[in-house]
Amino acid sequence: MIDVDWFELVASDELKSFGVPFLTTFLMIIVKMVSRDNSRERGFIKKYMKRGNFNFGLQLTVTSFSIYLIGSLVRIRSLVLSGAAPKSMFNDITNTFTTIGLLILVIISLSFIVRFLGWESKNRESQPTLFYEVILPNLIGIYSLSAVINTLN
Amino acid sequence: MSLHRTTIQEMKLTELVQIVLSVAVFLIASLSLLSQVEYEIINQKIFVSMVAATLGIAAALLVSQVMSRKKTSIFLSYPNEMEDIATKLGTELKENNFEVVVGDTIINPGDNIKKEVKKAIEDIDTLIVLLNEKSKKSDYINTEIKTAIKNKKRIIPLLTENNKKLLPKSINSLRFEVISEETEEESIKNFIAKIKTVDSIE
Repeated sequence: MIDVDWFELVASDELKSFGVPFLTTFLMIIVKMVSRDNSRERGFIKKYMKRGNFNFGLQLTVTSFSIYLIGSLVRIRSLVLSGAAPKSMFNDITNTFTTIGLLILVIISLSFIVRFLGWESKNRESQPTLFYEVILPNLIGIYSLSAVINTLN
Repeated sequence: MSLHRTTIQEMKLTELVQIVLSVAVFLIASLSLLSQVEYEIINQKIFVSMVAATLGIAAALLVSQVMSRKKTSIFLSYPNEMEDIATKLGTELKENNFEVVVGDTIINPGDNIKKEVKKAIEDIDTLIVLLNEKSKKSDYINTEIKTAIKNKKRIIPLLTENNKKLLPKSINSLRFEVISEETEEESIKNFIAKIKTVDSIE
C-alpha cells in the first residue's frame, strides 16, 4: 500500500515544480478542445488535432509574467516588512523590475514573430507555419512558466 | 526551419524591418532573462517542470481520445418526399446512440453541396438510403450512393414497399429493408434493432 503524507506533499516544491506545468498544459488543451464547435468533423484527428487547440504558448508566457509580477511584489513586501537591509532590498527590487521589463519585451517580440511568421504567412500560401505558430511559442511559454514557478519562493 | 523564399520576397520592407527588430529584441531579452536565473535551478527543477508540461500535453491527448470514443456514424440519404420518415428515423437512430449526418446539417449557405456531401460520406461508417419510385432517378441520391461505394462504406437501402425494382442499378444486389407507411414507427424500431446486431455497425 502506498503511504503518502499528503499534508506535506501539498506544501512540497516537487508538487509545485511538477503539478503546476502538468495541470496548466493539460487543462489549457482540454478546455480548448471542449469549447470549440467540432460537431461537423468526424474522427479524433479531424475533431481535436487542430493547431488552435495547441497554440497556448503566448497565453502561457503572459500568465508566467503575471505570476512573476505578483509574486515579486509579494516578496518585496515581505522584505520591507522584515526590515531587510536597504541595499539588498534595493538590489532585489531593481532585479525584479528588470526581469519584468525583459519579460514584457519577450512577450511583445514573440507575438510579432508569431503574427508574421505564423498566422499571416498563411495568407501568402507559403510553407508550413507549425513551428512559428505552435512549437516555438509553446516551448517559450512552457519554459517561462517552469522558470517562474521554480524561481519564486 | 527556414523561411521560404517566396515569403521574404512577398514581404514589404517595413514588415521585414519589424520582423528583424522583433527577433533581435526577443533574443536579447531572452538571453538576459536566462542569465538572471540561478544556475542550480536550471538543471533540475526547470527540467522537471518542462517534462511535466509535456506529460500534461500527452495526458490531454489521451483524454481527448476517450472523449471522441467512436459512435457509429450514419449518413441519411433521402428524396424530399420522404423527409418525414427520414426525420423520424434520424431521431430514433440518435436515441439509440448512433451519430446521424443529414445533408441539411452539414451544408451551410455558400458551400459547395457536392463537395461537402462527399467529405461527409468519406467520414461516416454507413449510408442508409431511403428509396421510392422517384428517388431512383435522383442525381443527388445516386451521387451519394456512388461516393459511398467508392469509399467502401456499408450501404443499407430502405424501401417504402417490398419491390426490388426501386433499387438503383449500383446497389440492386444489396439486401434491402422495408419501412411500411402503415406501421411506420414499428418498422423503424424493428429496422434499428436489426442494424444494431450487425457487427460492422455496432
